[in-house]
Amino acid sequence: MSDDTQPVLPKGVTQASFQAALTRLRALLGADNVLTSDEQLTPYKKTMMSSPDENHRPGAAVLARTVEEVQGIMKICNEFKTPVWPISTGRNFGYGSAAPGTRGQIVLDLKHMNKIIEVDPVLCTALVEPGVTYQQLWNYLKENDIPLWLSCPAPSAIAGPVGNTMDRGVGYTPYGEHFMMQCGMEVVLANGDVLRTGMGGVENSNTWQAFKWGYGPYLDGIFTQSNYGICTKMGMWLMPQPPAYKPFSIVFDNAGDIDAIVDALVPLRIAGIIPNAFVIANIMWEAAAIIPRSKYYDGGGSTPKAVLDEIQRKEGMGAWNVYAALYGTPEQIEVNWNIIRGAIDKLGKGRFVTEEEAGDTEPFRYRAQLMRGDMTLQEFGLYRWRGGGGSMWFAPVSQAKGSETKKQVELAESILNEYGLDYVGEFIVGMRDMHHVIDVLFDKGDPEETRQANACFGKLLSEFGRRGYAVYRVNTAFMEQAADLYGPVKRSVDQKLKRALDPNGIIAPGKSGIFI
Amino acid sequence: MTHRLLAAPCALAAALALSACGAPSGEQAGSSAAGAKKVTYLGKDSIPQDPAQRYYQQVCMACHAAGVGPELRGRELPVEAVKMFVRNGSRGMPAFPQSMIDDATLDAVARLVSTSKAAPAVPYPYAQ
Repeated sequence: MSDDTQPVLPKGVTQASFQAALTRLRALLGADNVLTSDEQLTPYKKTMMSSPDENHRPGAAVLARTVEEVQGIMKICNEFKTPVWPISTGRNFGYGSAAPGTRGQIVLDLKHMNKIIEVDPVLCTALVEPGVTYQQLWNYLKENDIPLWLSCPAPSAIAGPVGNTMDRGVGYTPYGEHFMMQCGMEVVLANGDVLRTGMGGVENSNTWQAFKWGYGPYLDGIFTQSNYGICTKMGMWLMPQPPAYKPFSIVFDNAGDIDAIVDALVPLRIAGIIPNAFVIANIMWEAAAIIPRSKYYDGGGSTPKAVLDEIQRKEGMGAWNVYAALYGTPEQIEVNWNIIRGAIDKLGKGRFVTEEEAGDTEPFRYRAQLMRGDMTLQEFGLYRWRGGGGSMWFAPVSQAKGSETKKQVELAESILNEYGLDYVGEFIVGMRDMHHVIDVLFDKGDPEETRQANACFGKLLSEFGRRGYAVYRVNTAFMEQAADLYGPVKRSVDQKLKRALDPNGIIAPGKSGIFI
Repeated sequence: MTHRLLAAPCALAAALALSACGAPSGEQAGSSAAGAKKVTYLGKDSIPQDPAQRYYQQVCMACHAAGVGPELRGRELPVEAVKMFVRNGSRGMPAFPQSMIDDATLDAVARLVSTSKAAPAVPYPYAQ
């Protein structure tokens, strides 16, 4: 636990160096864009993690608007060896919010670098700056009558495509594997060089957002979930608005059927019959979107099974709730709809819910919105399930096979219940994998429950890790432990790249366990 | 099978409360001629032109008129209290630094909250 009477300095940096760096940053950016007071920095400190906010307190925050300013910042940071932690919209709530990975780093806030540089409605591509939010881009597309759809994570409106894609987040449309749909980026390196990846380095090229790979080693990947450079522009592909859209849900009453559900539906996903990253949400995830658990249970600890059964019955929800959608002409949709119905008939379980039955009721509505890239914050109801502002995503990857589900569910449930917490989970089905996303929810205002959540998260990582299951992404308090799961060779290569590209370690030290 | 109907979707509720936003236009949805319900999807008309109204509707009301965060409308909440919650966050509510909403916009948004009329009555969600 950090002592908050000490000055907030990054590791290895003296007060004198830090202040000198701030003076130079003020000269570069203007005093208004260098934030040092408690009041100005408080919003950057709040996280939902089980580690104390003081461990992630920024030493300062600076706001940059241009590539030239970012280059200038890199120069100053190198001179004084003082690191920055870049954020775009800083809304990565389940993974660390706007706070630096370690105490004292200067938050480099790129929210004001927010131009929508270009949208090409014919090629269906966009090029944006880091501070652009999904809402801003959605507004732009609608105001300009551009018939393209976004793909956004559940924080939709307030999060942004650059931040989400750089952390390899996912959405719920056919374009839901966001990094797969990213095309070209511009990165400011620690030495001030500006790299354009893919086709972007070719002078006068117009293919930067048309073709991902470019020539020679494909570099985009090394800048995601890492600290090798600062992304200042990112290209992506957008889905053309289809003539028709059919969101639907399939409700399954029996928790034990998760494996059968996956085995029935995944072949349809792989074959493209179900084209989107569909979800299979458990009863608590489904219920949390619209009610707090206090509606049914006022006690502490894990929610008893009998209460979950009652919620399922009275709220009319499933033990598992599938949300998927079809896109295309009405004729195309009809063909695929019949195939899906046939598969469910054959399975002999599950009942369909369509738009005509659900209308504007939640949670169907917010799922229908997310699956077409519309804005909604309804899923934050999860934070109200137990209340208290604590939430960390534990998201191991699994094969998209039924045989993998039950053991992961049972393991997660037993560990969470051991610590008095709830298994609030859903599977997001990708191309061959499932992101098994579990929200470790706790009352951050309760020190004991916070300690339990901290121990629980560590145990989830290690117990799943022992069995060969690792997370696809993790919050800033657990980056080391997650990095270890991927083995010493990976860590060694990560470090070599870091030393080559950022020898003074001035960009987000510690991100994904990477230090110089 | 039923799902509870919550407070009206955020944009509709905000539109009624503020009388400043256009009616949402569904791109493909809205009621069909046969009377079947469908999900209401928002379009161009749902976007307020005034920056404070836009922030209030698209950011604040997305939680606070959807049952995710507490109801703010019609409570004459003090402007300074609203600002404090925005800058500091509170439990599940995140904190918003100046880069995300500057002081001038926050002041305007806080006044919108403070002077807002109560939302239309909706069925109490716990009613059986």
